[in-house]
Amino acid sequence: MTADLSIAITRTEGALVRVLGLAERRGFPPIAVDARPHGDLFLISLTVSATRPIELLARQLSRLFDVQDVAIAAPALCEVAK
Amino acid sequence: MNGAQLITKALVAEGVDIAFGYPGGAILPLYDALYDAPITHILARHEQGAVFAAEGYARASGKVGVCIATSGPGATNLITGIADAYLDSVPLVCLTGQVPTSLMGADAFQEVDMLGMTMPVVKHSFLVRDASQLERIIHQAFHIARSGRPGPVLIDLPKDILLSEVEALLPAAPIPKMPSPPATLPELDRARQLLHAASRPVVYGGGGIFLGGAVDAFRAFVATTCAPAVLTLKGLGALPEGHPQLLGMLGMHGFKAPNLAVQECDLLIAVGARFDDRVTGKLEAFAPNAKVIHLDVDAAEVGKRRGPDAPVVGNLAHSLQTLTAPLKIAEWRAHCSSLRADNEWSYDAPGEGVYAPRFLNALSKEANRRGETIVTSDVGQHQMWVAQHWAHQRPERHHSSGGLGSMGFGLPSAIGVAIGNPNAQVISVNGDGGFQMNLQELATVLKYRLPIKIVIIDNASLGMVRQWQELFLNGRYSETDMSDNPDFVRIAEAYGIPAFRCDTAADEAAAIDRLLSADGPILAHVCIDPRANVWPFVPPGGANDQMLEGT
Repeated sequence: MTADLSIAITRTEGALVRVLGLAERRGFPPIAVDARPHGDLFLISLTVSATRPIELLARQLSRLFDVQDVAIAAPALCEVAK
Repeated sequence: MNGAQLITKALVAEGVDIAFGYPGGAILPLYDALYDAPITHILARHEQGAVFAAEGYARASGKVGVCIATSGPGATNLITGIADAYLDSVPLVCLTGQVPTSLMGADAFQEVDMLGMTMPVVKHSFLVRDASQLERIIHQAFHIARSGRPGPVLIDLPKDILLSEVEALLPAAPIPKMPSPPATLPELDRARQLLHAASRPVVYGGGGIFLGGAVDAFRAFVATTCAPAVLTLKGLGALPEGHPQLLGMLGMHGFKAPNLAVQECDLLIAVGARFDDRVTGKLEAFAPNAKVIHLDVDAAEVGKRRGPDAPVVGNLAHSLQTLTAPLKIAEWRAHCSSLRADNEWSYDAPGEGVYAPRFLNALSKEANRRGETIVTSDVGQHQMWVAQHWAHQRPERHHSSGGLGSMGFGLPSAIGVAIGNPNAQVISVNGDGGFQMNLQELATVLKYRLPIKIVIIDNASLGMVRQWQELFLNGRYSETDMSDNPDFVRIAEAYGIPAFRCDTAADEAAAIDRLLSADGPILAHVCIDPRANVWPFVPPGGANDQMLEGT
């Protein structure tokens, strides 16, 4: 299954790598990524492979200091695990 | 003023009066600035010793620990400590030298990509390429390190940035620490409903209680609800030893009463805990009949391992205070009390050798009787014996490498604790394996005349690994024998630290008295039976009610 995220991050050194690395490490391998500058930000569309609820990755990404906003662009494809 | 001097100015503004570190080429300008700064620098004998000491200092003093190292190997030697601080949520600011910006990316001498290498194990990191940003970045780093869920922050400092002439172009000052925001009312309402509907609740407290400044609120919550409580390794001390509702530590080496109570409960109230695999055992079989309330300041912990029925994300003290109310659970309380009474640990042990659980239990009780005591432990069997048998009083008086399980932590972390708490008795309990990973820090103990009581529980092997080999690998003891250990008494004496050996049960009381009566540092080499194991033991992959209790 895949999931799509829209992410806004500050355009600072290492910020893009941080986002992609975190997704990979937490078990959501990136499949497609598009990042474009927008003022002081990068606006990222990220598609990841997801075997667990995408909300878990969204919450991890939200912790990153450079991340300004995370939105799940497509409905989560699996239910929150109990 | 150059960049390095601006850094020391910003550190002083942050209230830093102690920093741990080790100098080198790329970081030389900062060491030159420290020469005149009102900051006491503690020189370790290895960067890993410095960063573990900074962790001990931070956790014991409540301040942000500061650690400094040079580029390349100096910086990479910090990484284990940075990862340790990340997994145990310890606030650190680590300053590393870097080659000049003009050489970066060219494989210069002692150049490594420290920003890239540490990304997975920092709360945040900065590579400073503009000296005018230095002061702002220092203050930002301290703010990030101590706010919300604390953690380590790295600042990588190219040498030309340290040397460049700067003025504080923009006004920059420490950012005040703000309390974490409270949980929402609907979350708290849902939790309250579950709490009052439960007939068999258990409170499961973790390291977040101390980190969130919620020890008093936690104690009040337990006292008012009268719910039985279990604690994780990092939560130990959130309730004092002997507290009527405290069942003990749960998990792989938890006692029977806490593990069984959790398996039987119908509501698990997780407070600043993260359902670590060493706690839960087989996750699907952990508290199988329980609904879960998960109180945490970090939203990313909610549902990471087990989805809660009621997530409560926000300031822990506020959440606990809001949910504190009496519960009608007398029958369950009585059941848990008898579970505990039926499974009291016996310190009678056959044989004439030292019995480590008894020795550590007696040491802690006598030390507590004499005054405020802080214990650090290394990693392995002795770490679990300290967790199980120490008479814990407060979380900040017990220091252990929990998440990363870093051997070599015990001695240097005690150095930081002793510097941060000069009036406390500091006891460092080590294994023979881990002690040898950072024994060079005996020189630091001597240099600063730190009155640390060092205990080596020596079983002449890597005991915890040996235990797994005995139980699960048919006794194939691959590379865990250390019967060729050096003479630890002579090693300590070579560093100018008095030391003695204790190897019989009859010597235990005298050894404890000698340790605690010493004015300065002292080392006790305590020899135990290499075949001693840690019990109980939930086999890896097993459920917590399937514990082994001995061989």
